[in-house]
Amino acid sequence: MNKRTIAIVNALLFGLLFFILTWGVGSDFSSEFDSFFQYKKNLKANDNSLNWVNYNYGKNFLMGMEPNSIFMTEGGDNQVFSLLYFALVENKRPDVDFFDQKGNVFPRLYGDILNTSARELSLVQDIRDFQLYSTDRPVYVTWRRANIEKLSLSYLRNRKNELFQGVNPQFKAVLDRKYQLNNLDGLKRTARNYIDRSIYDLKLRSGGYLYEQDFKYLGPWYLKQFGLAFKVTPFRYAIVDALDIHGGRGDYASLQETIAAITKINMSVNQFNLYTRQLASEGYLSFSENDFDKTLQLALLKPFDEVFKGITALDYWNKYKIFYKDVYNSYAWDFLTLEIYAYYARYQRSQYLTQVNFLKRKINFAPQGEKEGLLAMINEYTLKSEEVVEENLAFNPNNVALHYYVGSVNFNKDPEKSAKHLAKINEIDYKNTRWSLTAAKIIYQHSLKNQNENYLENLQKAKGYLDKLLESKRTFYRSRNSGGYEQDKEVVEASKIMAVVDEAILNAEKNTEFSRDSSADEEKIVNQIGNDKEKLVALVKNLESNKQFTLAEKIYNRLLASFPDDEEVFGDYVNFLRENNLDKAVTVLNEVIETEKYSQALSEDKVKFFLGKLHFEKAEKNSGTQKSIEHYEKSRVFFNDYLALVNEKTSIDSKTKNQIIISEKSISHIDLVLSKR
Amino acid sequence: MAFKSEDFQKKWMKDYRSYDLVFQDKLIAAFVFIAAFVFYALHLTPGVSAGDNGELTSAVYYLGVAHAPGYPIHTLFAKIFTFIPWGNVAWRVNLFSAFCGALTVYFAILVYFKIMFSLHSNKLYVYLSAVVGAIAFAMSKTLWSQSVTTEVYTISALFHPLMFYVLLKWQDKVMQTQRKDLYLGEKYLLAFAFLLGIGLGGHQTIIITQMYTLVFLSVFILFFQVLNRKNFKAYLRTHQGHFAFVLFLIFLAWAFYFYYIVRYESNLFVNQFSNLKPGVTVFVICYLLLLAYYLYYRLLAQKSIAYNQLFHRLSLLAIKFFGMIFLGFAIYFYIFIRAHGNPPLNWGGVNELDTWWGKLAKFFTMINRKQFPVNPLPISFYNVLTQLNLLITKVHYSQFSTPFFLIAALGGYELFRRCRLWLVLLVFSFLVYNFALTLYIKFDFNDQDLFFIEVFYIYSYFLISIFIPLGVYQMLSLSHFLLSKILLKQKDEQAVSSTTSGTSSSTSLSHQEGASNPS
Repeated sequence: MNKRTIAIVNALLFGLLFFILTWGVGSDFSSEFDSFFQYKKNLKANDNSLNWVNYNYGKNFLMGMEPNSIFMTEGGDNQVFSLLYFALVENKRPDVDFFDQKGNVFPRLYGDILNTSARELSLVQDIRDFQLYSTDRPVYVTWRRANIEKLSLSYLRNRKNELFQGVNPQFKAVLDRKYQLNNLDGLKRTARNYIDRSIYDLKLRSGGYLYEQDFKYLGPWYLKQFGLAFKVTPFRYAIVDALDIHGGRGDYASLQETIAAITKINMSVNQFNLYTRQLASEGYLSFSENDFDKTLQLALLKPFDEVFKGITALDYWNKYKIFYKDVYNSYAWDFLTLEIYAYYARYQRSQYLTQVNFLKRKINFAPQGEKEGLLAMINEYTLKSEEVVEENLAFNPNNVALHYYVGSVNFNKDPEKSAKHLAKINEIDYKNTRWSLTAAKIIYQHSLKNQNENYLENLQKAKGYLDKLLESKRTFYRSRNSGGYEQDKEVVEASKIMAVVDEAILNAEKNTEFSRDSSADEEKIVNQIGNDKEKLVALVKNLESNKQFTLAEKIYNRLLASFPDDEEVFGDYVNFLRENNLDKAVTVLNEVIETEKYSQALSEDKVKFFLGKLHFEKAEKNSGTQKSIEHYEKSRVFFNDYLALVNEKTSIDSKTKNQIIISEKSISHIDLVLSKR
Repeated sequence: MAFKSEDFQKKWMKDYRSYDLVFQDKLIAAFVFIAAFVFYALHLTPGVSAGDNGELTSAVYYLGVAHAPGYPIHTLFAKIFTFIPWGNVAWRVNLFSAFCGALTVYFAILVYFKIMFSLHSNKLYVYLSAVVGAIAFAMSKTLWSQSVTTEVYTISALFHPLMFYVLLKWQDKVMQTQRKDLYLGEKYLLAFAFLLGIGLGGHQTIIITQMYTLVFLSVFILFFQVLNRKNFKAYLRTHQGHFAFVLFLIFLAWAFYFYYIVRYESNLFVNQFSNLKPGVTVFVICYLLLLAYYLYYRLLAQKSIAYNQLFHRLSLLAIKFFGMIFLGFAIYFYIFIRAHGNPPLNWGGVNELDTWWGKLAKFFTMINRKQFPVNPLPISFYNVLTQLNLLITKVHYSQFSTPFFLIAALGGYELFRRCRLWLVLLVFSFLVYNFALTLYIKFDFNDQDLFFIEVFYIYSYFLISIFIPLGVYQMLSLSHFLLSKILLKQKDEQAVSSTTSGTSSSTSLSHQEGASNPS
């Protein structure tokens, strides 16, 4: 064997070693050893071979528009650039005119924004938008444009006066010539001061601005969501929407409030009368004047909900191509791609919530037979609005907006979850400290309410959130070389809460220590007091108010042992448990049923009612799980028993009446929930 | 005692000997290029991806002007790929990124070959270790991620190893050539300058990449061309004033450029271009003076050029150097030319104003990226420390798998023993680049900022990757030594021990052995 052979053998051996070192072994991509192998370490983030996300995103926008539309994007790179690609390179949808807010890539709708002052720019934007919305082309925007419900000529005139208040009269005359806002022609002239002729004429390519005689129908507008975009809708169509909600019939007095809820604008009688005639000529409704008081009675002929025939707003989400969930590594793609998933979730959520609001109003006017169906739909859409966000969080664990949504939805339902998600925002972005404070408050309140369950743990969580806030704030001020940490409002507030939480933690820790060898203490106390019932009851009440629950429970046990037949003590004990330890309360009450140890304070009907209520609460708390179904079922049994027991009674006081109502309501709720399952 | 280059080389570049790549090396590099290209193509984004992709693709398709600073080389060269007859246009332009990424790997492996063959002789082992290094670099997180989608970073990245390679060739020539006149390797330096200029048409961070170059150049010129001459003081005697004059004009020109054009708070259009005019005027006058100086010696007083006077040679070289940078940078005239063709995508609208000052103002707004407001952190000890910490623990650490960092450390040790100067220069380059870029970008501490800045540090990852083949080779030597010991037993033991005497056992494949057994 010569040296050359050795070299070859050595090279082969090492070649194998480095092959393994780069490509790794096995095919399991979630292995914790992945970071040991070069290929596996970087594969998930960089395998883009199935990354159609932005491509589909652009396509989804394109397919959601009516022919001949105007489409305005909010200016984010993903939206603007994918649409640019399809519009310019693939020449899709040549009938649509695209615009972005900044005019970097699409025609400059607002002139040269880099060289226009911010004050003037906002006026120019309002004027141009007003003009665009006034064409007879459908206009879509991809964000909730602010103040769209205010846009009108008089609003523009006011803004102009506000903006140019205090300028000298000579200059004012120049501005008046520049901004002629008295009629549509004036508006056109104003726009031409800013916009290139060619861009201006682009809008007129198909159809034109509405005629002067239609002027009274222009502005304001409201936004209706269709999938990923909002359609700018003239104010008058709110009447059609309101009629739809009201079951197809109504007049000004009855529709007024619903219209305001949909559009954020109050509609005057004059507007109403004007619009209804226009709508009738467009075929949306018929109306008859009431001979009696000359008011209009409207009847809906067709709803104004569908952009394309037969496709409602919710159907868009089935039409869209959203494939990323099926791809093995889509969660690891780059930050900008992940943003698109979050967009889907946020817009889908918004769509469901709009639908829920719509249905919640509708249910008031629906005939009795349809109500149940509507209620089920409301529940379904509410659930779905939460589901889409939570499902997306798995892909997008660092999206601030999604965490905010989950945090705010669970504010009352599940404070721990809510606090966790709100606090996560601060972890993602150290500058975004605001919600840490809220999270700390939520969890602190929650810990006060549930002192027996994870009391100390929750307090420590609150402290952790506050710590994170203070640390972030310190980093913030330090990194910017500026003082102001001490004066910062959030820091001041957090420090205050911190003091309270610290004290509570100290007390709680003392209590745990106290209860650790409380058997000795208990002996000591009991020896001091003896078996004096009144003194022991007073002590226990005192302990309860001092939140020393462990010790209180022990004293209760002693009291029960000493006075086994005392109904009052037992009643107090059950109440104590109900507030502090639901599980134990359930077991104790179950025991009462089994041993039939009923008494005046704990009569059979009361026990059953309590148990029904307790199980109901537990079910609500664990909603969505198998456990909750069991609790619902148990709860229903107890409530039914209770109702049967009460039925036998001859006289019913007001308290019992209330309890009956609660039982009936709960049972119907349970029926609904279980039937859905 | 007189300074001797040989002593210096013995101490600081002990095992170094010059090496020119042969056809076989380039062939292997070409195979690696093809493999990398196929690898990137397999993971390529099939359509338009998130980020700038759609915009850059549209600019490429219409030969338009992309977002500031315009990225003319990307637009021009990627256009070729749009003529591929299949696939959607976005995919074709994505493929261009893969091509540039593979080209980056190609130039990187040339650098590895050059360094490895300068220190070692066992061809098989050099090829194997260089290929392992190339694979590690090709699969480094950021280069890979940029090679599978349309972005401007791969075409910018390929200039790093390419310029590094040119610099290595220059160093070889400067070390070897000994003439009566000073030899400054101008041919290579001017090629380097041209590449730098044209590279600015990609991403402009390349300018920071080259900050260490001045030190690199000074070291080799000083130790191998100047100090080693017997009467070296005579080579420094005259023309100091000329050099100071040239440096002053260069400094003045750039001071005016930065003070009046780059730094402006408001925009360049106010007060009849009151910022733009003095900035441009002084800049142009300075360079016209420099040009006049150069032309005087080139055309009228060629005989009075002092070829053996360092300062005179440097004065003339500096002017030529900047001339070549400008020549490369002239690729930015693309923006002027194409903007006036009114393509559908015309970012910055350079053609929108009719006056030349107006056009210039728009042009400078474009190339200085004034449109994108930045809100950076102030520079402070705490901030820079935190930023560097994040750079190491999050950005750099994510590039390679853990074993490769260990291997790179081994390579560093190898370089320490064999060619200390390179180690110093590489580490210096690494530190200067990271510090300078960090001070320039001033990024914030959150993950989002880290995601956006990791692409600027590709050069830094490349520098780390240089150490990987060195470490691999070291491991190969060690195992070779052990294998020989086991398999050849007594007979060859003597031979082995004779080659390793005086050095540690793992250096059994150093030059002495290689020289005696050329493969």
